[in-house]
Amino acid sequence: MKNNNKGFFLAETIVVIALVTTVMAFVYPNVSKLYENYKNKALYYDQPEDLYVLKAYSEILKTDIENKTKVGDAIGCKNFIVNEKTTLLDNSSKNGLPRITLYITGYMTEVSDTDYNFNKYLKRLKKTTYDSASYRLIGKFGTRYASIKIDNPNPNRNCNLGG
Amino acid sequence: MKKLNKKGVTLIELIVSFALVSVAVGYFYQTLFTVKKLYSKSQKETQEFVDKTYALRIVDAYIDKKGFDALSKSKVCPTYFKCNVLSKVDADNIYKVTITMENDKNVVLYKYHE
Repeated sequence: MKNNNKGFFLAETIVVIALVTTVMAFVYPNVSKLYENYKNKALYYDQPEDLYVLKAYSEILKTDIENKTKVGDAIGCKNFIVNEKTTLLDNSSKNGLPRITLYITGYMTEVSDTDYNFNKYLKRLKKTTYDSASYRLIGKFGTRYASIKIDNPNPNRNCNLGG
Repeated sequence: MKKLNKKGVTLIELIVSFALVSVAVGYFYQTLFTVKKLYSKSQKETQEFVDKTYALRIVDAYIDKKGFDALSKSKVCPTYFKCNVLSKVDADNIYKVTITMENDKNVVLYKYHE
């Protein structure tokens, strides 16, 4: 019987290596992101103690937010829709609560920030929560971020979500 | 009678295949070790997260039910879940309760009251 001593062609080998490399190139970025996402979720996003702080803030600020005379133009309609820090909420330190940066945002708003990590959190928030009628109080706790759903901060306002 | 193939493999082929298999196994073990390490670490982190959430909920519910004054250092958490109230402060309409967990880590509960 005649043996087949040919083995592989160089071209065949190159094609196989190219295919395997392509598959690896697609798989690796997704797999490497898994742990990063998990770490963010477990250590930096929506930590329970931060959510309690936000809850306390939302209760304290509820009256202030609804009372326009108290905070003036700083809480105008625009500031609730566009994700801007209001004078009232910026670097708040009320009643012995931790000093954090607070944001109020309408859900439909295209929120973004220059802080890369915070921006990532905002994008994730937009992707994972859907409630077109809700507002969120978002807090920056240094490198940790958290948010809770709140009532419409100003029920009398006449502008719509998203401006 | 059919002629047998008595060629076998050469020493070079054998060495090359051993080298290739060794490299592959080396990478495989490295990956396995990394995954194992990550698993243990994430398991610990997840457990801490769950414990922290549970302790905060217990203390929060306790204050709602029995009041801040009734909050004592040892009688808040159930026997199957170890946590202790380390300190409590009531100032400017905010209850601040520091809770010590089983792993000696502290978590702070802030709660607004009228």
